[in-house]
Amino acid sequence: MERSAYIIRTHHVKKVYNPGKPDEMTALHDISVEIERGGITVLQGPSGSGKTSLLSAIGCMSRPTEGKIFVDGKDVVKLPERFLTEMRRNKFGFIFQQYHLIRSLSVLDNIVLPLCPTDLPPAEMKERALAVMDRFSITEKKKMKVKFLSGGEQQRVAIARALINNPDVIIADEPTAHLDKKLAAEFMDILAALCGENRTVVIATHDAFVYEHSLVGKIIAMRDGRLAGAH
Amino acid sequence: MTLYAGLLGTVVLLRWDFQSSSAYQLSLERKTYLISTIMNYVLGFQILSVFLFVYTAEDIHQLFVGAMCATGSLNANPVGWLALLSKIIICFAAGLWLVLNYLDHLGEDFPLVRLKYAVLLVLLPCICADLYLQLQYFLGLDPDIITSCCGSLFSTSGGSVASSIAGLPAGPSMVVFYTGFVLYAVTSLFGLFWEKAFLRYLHSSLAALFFIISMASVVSFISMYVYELPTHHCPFDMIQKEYSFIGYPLYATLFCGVFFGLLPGIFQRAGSIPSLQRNFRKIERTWLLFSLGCMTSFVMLTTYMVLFSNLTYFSVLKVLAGNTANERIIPCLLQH
Amino acid sequence: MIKHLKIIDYALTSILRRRNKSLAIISAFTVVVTALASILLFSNSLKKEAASLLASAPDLIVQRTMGGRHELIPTDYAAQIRKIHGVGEVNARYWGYYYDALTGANFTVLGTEGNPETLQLLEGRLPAGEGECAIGAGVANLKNTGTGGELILVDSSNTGVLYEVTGVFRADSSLLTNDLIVLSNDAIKGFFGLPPGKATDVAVQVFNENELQTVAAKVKRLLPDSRPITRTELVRTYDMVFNWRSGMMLSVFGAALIAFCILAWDKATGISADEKQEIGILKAIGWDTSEVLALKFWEGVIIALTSYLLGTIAGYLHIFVFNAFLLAPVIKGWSVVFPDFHLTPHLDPYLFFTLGFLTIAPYVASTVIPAWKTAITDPDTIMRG
Ligand SMILES: Nc1ncnc2c1ncn2[C@@H]1O[C@H](COP(=O)(O)OP(=O)(O)OP(=O)(O)O)[C@@H](O)[C@H]1O
Ligand SMILES: [Mg+2]
Repeated sequence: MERSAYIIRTHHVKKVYNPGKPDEMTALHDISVEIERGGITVLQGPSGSGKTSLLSAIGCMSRPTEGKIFVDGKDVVKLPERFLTEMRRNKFGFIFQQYHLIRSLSVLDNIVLPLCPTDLPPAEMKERALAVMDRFSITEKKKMKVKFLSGGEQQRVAIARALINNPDVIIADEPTAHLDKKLAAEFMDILAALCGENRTVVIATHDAFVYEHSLVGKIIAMRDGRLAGAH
Repeated sequence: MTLYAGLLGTVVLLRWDFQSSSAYQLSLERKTYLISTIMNYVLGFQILSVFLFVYTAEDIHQLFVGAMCATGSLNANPVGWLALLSKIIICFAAGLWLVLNYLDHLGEDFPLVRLKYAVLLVLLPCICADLYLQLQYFLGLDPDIITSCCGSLFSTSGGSVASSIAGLPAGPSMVVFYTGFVLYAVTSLFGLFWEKAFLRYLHSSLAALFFIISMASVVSFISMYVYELPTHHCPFDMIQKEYSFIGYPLYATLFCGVFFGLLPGIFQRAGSIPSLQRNFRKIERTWLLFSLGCMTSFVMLTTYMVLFSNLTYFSVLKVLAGNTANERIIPCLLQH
Repeated sequence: MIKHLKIIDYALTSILRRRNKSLAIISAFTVVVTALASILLFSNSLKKEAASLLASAPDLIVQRTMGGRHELIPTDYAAQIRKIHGVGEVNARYWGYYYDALTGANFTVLGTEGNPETLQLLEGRLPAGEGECAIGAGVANLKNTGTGGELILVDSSNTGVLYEVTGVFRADSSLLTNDLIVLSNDAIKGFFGLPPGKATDVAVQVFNENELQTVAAKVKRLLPDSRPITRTELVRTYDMVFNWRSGMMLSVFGAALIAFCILAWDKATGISADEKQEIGILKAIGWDTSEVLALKFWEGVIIALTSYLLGTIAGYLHIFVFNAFLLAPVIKGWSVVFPDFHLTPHLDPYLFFTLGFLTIAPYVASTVIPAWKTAITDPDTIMRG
């Protein structure tokens, strides 16, 4: 497999929800984009423009109805589910809008969760978790249940969880929606640091603070499931 | 549940179209998980049920006049032998299906999916038939029947197949047994280093052959040493408590060894499927090693019993020569 | 391997996190297992006791039948039987039932000549003379007497007879000696007013077990109005009677179990939104469907195993420590003379295995489809809150 400059390429991707039913909805029409290795790429567009749909397709969470998606040069559209899982587990780290932590588990347990169905020994797993927790200064909260954490802390736990598997690509959907200016700035700094480690970051957002940030490399604008011209 | 899996299996078989990315195909793909899980349960149960069946047959022998072990219970209703045979066959077939399923999961393009469900559809009626046989057996048991037990079936003087096996001379069958094992071990070792197809086929054929040799050996001489009684050849008595359940590890190692020994040959063709090639050789090696390990344990167990039995080969010869005045054997004879 | 250990660990924590739901299922399940375990243990130990008693029973019992009914047997039959080749000792036996109007109980009255096999069950000694008797613990309790005490029974000519109690059966397995009154042979003949030269039946000892059938056939030929019953036949009859009883009970509780399974199924199919969300998160961060299925499988196994262990322990305590206080009235309804008794505890691995199989397997199986429904949750769903 040749190592191209693009870590992700989509090729005429189309996504139809509920095909053949009365509530059929085409969320993506013929999307072809390239995402470069390293650097921050932003998907920008109004609500309902299909940002989340595209993110979930390139993150191997859902399969597009048509088209091809290459991750590291490999077409993932035709892969059986368990190989998609493998891609998710090995290549991607996800940061969701609502954080999606398991609220009744402790911080540490949440962070190691992605590594649970692997053959990594528990001690090593914990070691890794402590390393990332240290980085985001949440180590002293490790035994605390997530539901007692503040929003900013929860986000840092979510980031730590996304990084535990040492992913190449970090996908973040509306990461700053619940954050104030200061926290959002902090978050962008973290992302910048991750890019420095040669990781790729893809963010979907309609927050001007994010897409006007100086570190953003490429902006893909979307309107109604179509590309509105790449910048 | 089995029926449900069968139904799903049929649907998958008919409608499977990997190229399609329709929602229907996706739902089929998800159903395969359900089928796999159900079949894992069902087939796991099948494997367990061989053990249960034998144990139950063993346990109920006291209900029958003249029965002293599972042989007697099985004789009480001859369907029992058929049920036992079908159980063993299904046990092997079930194992094969699980391996097939496992291999299918390794490939990125579901390489064996059609074959898998076709085999499943063949397997299901067999499981039902087996269930039917088992029911027939247990319902057809009549405690008033006076059965004959192993003493007569596996006696050295009789016309049946069983007794002719029992009558095989211990010395030569021991030679055949150990030669068979050495041959098998050597092919295994060769197989570990050369990935030639013909070696695989040879290996699997030898495994099958060795299974037959071993079963014959159990009846002809291993049993003799377990019971320390040169005239007793029952393959079932050894799972009794009196013989510290030695039969269970004995049969378990043999069955596992043969099963894993058969795999490389049977799945030889799967190795050439492109999407499997990467992992297949590694798995095959594991099979070979595992099979060899089980077989070696089996043979070691046998050897241990032969060597440390109170019955010496010498006394066997003496008995065969008609000299029954051996003080160690007489009490055994009375005991039984 | 490590992976599965970690999944099991996670399954444990998620059961603990959903404490209320898990507790509800475990307690319901435990009740079912307790009931099943009680019945199996109870009938099994009855069977064992019957078998152990029968083990000391004579090899062959010869009864006389007339018009298809049990009839007194002439004692000179015994002499004829003794002549058969392979026959050892032959004893005429005297026994019968006694209805005690005062307590409304039925006793078994047995004549003896100091039979050594039953001696070991006795505390005190067997009756030696006409005015003496030995009784079971149940009789002693009911008639408020004991060793050294007295027992008044009404004989066939309707006069009260006073016996001195020389011993009480206090064997661990008292169920079958409980209603027993042992008199000397002479005393019992007088008590029941048996005609001279007649006995209830004849006990025959056969040297070689394999010849039992032949001897029985010979007896039948020699004495056409007799009915020989071999011990193996007796054991089987007992076995079948008890099997039948336990089978009945089993099917009743099997139905209960199935009902429970349907309940569990119903409960588990309705996946809570919380749970669905959790599975979605797991899938999104890299758990595979098969791993979620494994998680659900282990959750089921842990719950079933816990209930199984709790249930069997409870069943064991119920039967052997608390004397089956819930079951005893059901199974022994036909007799009043079982005020209390102790079953001998014994552990039969086959029984526990069967029980485990009957409870764990259906539960885990009934969770397959709900588990699958949860496991195929689309990871995509959690992308939208
Ligand atoms: N499961 C679904 N079934 C039907 N329609 C859907 C589904 N998911 C998304 N849609 C539709 O697809 C379109 C695109 O949705 P998507 O979530 O991708 O937009 P978005 O750009 O992420 O919006 P937002 O900024 O509000 O998050 C929307 O109109 C939405 O209603
Ligand atoms: Mg969105």
